Amino acid sequence: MRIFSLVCSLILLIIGIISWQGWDAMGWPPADWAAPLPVFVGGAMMTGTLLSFLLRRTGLQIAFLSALCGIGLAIGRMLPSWLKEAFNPSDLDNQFLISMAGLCTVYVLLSAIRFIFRPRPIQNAGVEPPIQADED
Amino acid sequence: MNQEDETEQLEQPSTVVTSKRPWWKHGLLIGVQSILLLPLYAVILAAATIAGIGWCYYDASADLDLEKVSRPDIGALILDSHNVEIGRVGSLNQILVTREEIPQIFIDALLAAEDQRFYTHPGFDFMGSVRAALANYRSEGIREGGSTLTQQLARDVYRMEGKSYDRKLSEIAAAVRLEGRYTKDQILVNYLNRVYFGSGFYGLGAAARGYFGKKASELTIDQAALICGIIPSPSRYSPLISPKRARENRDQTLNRMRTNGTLSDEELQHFLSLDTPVASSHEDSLTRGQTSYLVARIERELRSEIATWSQPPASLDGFTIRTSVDLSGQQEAAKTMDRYLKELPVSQPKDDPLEAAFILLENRSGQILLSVGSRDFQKSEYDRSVEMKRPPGSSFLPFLYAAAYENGPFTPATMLLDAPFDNRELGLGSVGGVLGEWSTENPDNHWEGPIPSSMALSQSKNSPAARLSQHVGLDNMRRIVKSCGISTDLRDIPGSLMGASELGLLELVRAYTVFANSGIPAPLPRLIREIEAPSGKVISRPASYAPARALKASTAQWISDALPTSEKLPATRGKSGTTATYTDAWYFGFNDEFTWGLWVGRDRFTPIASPAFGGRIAQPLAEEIMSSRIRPSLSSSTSHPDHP
Repeated sequence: MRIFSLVCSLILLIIGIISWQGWDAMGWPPADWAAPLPVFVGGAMMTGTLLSFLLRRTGLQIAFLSALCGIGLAIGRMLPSWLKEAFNPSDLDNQFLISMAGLCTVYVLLSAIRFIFRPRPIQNAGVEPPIQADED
Repeated sequence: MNQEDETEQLEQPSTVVTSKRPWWKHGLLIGVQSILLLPLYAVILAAATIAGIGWCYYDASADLDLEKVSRPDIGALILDSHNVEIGRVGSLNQILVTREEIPQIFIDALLAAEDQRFYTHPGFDFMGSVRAALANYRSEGIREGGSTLTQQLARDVYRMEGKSYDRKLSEIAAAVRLEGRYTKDQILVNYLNRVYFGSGFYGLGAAARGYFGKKASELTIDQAALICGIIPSPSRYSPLISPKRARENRDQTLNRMRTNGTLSDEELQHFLSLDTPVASSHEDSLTRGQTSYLVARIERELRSEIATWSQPPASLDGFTIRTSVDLSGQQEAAKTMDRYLKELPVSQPKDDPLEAAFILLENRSGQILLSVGSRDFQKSEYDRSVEMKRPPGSSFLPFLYAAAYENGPFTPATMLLDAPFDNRELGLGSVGGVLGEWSTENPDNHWEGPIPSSMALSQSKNSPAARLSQHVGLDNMRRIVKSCGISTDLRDIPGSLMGASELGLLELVRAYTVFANSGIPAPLPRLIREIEAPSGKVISRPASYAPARALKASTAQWISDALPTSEKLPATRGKSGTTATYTDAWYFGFNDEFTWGLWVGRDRFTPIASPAFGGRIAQPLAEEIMSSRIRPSLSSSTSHPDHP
């Protein structure tokens, strides 16, 4: 899961950097603060992932919450124009947001599946007397 | 436990035995954890979504011109037909006040009434919005605004109209930006210079002057509370419109001031016991009301005119709008109307008063010279001259006879039978009765037998008209009234032929111009004569005289000759109208120059009186209004000029 988390956060960082840095160079419309949004979410996930190598549960929890926020922010950002029937999925900024929301959703779902279907832990069953050899 | 595990245990001589957690215990634990965590995650997801939405609206408000808040609008100057200033479109006719001129007691009252956390919130009041949202949810609609003063200022400056969540969020975003640009005191001053306090008063300076005849700095606590109580609904809570509601709101504001600790119990009791009378007289109210009405009406016409331009101007600043209306005549007409209606010996309950509307048109140009849409615009802003549609009753009969003459073989000499006529064939007013027993201009009606059609029209006889209507038919009638300039469709009922279909006053007055104009209706009526740009260039002039002929000149002449002449106004003819249930009284008159129309009735469709004939109620009032305009020396005759 940590490796997957690392990959996801890296992809988000790359998407954000491309959308922010490459915006003007590619002749796209002027970028607003929606462009580097994947960087913020990816950065938070990356922090959580790196922390998970020291504190596994806490780190992955932070990465999971970051992904959840990524979904919410992307949906919130796109929702008003969708409600006004002005949403255009072919717009570049919307495509970046959709990519981010998709990646975060996959991450959240996989984390949830991983959580629900995690292996049963080994537990202490008590103290038993050593096995005695047959008296015969 | 599987075989491998057992083998492992057997090989280990240790005393500690380990095993996997039982599956049921494991499943139960996951279930409990999920149930506990899901709401937490849902809240986080919702919070992130709300943040995203807020971000979206905040970004969208980046283009707002924040300087507009402190920049006074000059607007476009409106002049009447004598070049007298009526007012301005696109500006608020304010008396600007500074922070020093606003008394602290007024600010206390304002914050208590409108925005208690003004000095602490960042432009929007989260708690206030939640409270309003809950109230709206409970009422299944948008009832409460929960807007802060900054939001109200943003809404006013950027014209964020309507009630929707989209508008609300845009308003919040704009308010947050304004809070970043201006100090709280600057926001307060700009708000108080712009907010509408009803009865045509924009801004605190104008309201203090208009309601109490004093400067803002001289207001007392009860006066401040009364003015603040108007803000939620200025057209309803103005003390000039509803003194009772204004006082209730004043008391509510005073009570809130007590709750806030601004007033002591003794002070509260003292101010609650005061009357807080307004200084404005009824005459002032009527005069100012007509000015406000004209500005609003001209603004509507101007906006629709500008919408047709290929390059509409970004601002109306510096424009001059020349109109055909006579401001002093308009104000006098409103006063005459109010005085006349007051003196009418009919019941006038406060909740269902008599109302009236009057329009005077120039026959050739279609320019509106007078247009009174309400008895007192300060009390009722409903424009009955344009927005209202009511059955014209017998004042519609000239068009029935015109349709009959146009299609032949009828002429003024054609004999029509004036005898009982079963109303079930026409359904006029009600399905019972015999025509002629009511809804006639002559209360002492008696049957004449065969009479010429011109006489039937002149005497407004119902049964000959009913017989004639059966020959004319609804299709012919519709064609004629359309060509005369009536755009409203006649209803698909036989009674429409005799005026049972609802029509507007303005379109009826325009249609009556065909009788004065030898069969050609006036061009589309309008108030604006020309629009002059700041550079002095005249951008818009009225349309040329282009309407097509609606009636033969002979038909127009026949109708005109048949209509009775006025005893009080020389060289004018006209027709009164009454509806079957006495809910509407009409009078239409014309001479060579002008055509005018007047309606009297009640907004709730209750009878004016029983009986109440147009000839006795509407005609005298129309003649009184017109008497100052039509003098014997200026009038010639009702002979028809030739048209190009």
